[in-house]
Amino acid sequence: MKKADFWLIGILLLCAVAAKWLLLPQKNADPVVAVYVNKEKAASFSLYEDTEAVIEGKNGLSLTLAVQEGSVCVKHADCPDKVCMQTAPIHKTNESILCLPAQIVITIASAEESEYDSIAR
Amino acid sequence: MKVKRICILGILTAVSMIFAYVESLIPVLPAIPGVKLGLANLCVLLCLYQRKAADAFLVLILRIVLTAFTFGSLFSMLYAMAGGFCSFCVMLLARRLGVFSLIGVSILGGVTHNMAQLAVACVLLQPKACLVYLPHLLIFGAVCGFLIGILTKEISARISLQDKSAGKNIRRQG
Repeated sequence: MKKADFWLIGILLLCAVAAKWLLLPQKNADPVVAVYVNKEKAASFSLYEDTEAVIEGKNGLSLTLAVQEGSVCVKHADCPDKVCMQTAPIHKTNESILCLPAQIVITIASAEESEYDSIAR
Repeated sequence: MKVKRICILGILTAVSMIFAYVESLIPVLPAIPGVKLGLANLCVLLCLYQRKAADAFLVLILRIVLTAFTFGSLFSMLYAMAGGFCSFCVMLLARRLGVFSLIGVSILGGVTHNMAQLAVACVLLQPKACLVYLPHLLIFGAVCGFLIGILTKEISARISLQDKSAGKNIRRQG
């Protein structure tokens, strides 16, 4: 290994730490589960009410979302890769589950923020 | 096209297809969804170091198209193309620059692959939710690139893929 390799590893580590720090979840008094299909908000749920819902995504694919005791996970998905089902349940603000084939994003946002979203639209 | 070139590129493409398939069977880490080792990049790296860049590009494109048609979908091809193409360009540039060793080039390739795929996800999906995965993808791209780099270095020291010495190599082993 050359000197430049060590510099590269160092810089990458620094970038990762900086990005992690910038993306750290903020304090959130009122978290809600927001679902986006193809960049547009499709639905939102309370994080503290246990629910199950079917979300229709793009390309004829759908997934079943489950909210249970303050954490969200994907119970079932039509897509071939099932990455969203393997994703660990999310419970903190800004955490998200992505389904690339169906273009679905499930994220935990603050209720205020999503209200601004609807006003802007 | 020389027969030897056809053989070597064919073998490399077949091996990288198998790598891509085996990788999809290995379960991903739950905290970081969709992360792969990047074993298929081993073939591209070997080609990049022992043969012409055009051969490496050929192996890469063939692998992406063939795996998409056999195991994946057109949709997965879009992500694979973005990642593969960007990482190839960066690896080629890094190799030509000459400052990095093989391991450094491999790390750059792994990180670029992940960043390109993240960029595609940001365009197609809600960007904020995708960016949350940036630190994890950065670290994993670097770690996997490092491991693949070591593997490629060891394999490259033992196997010759050049047109001239390939025959000699086989005879010596036989």
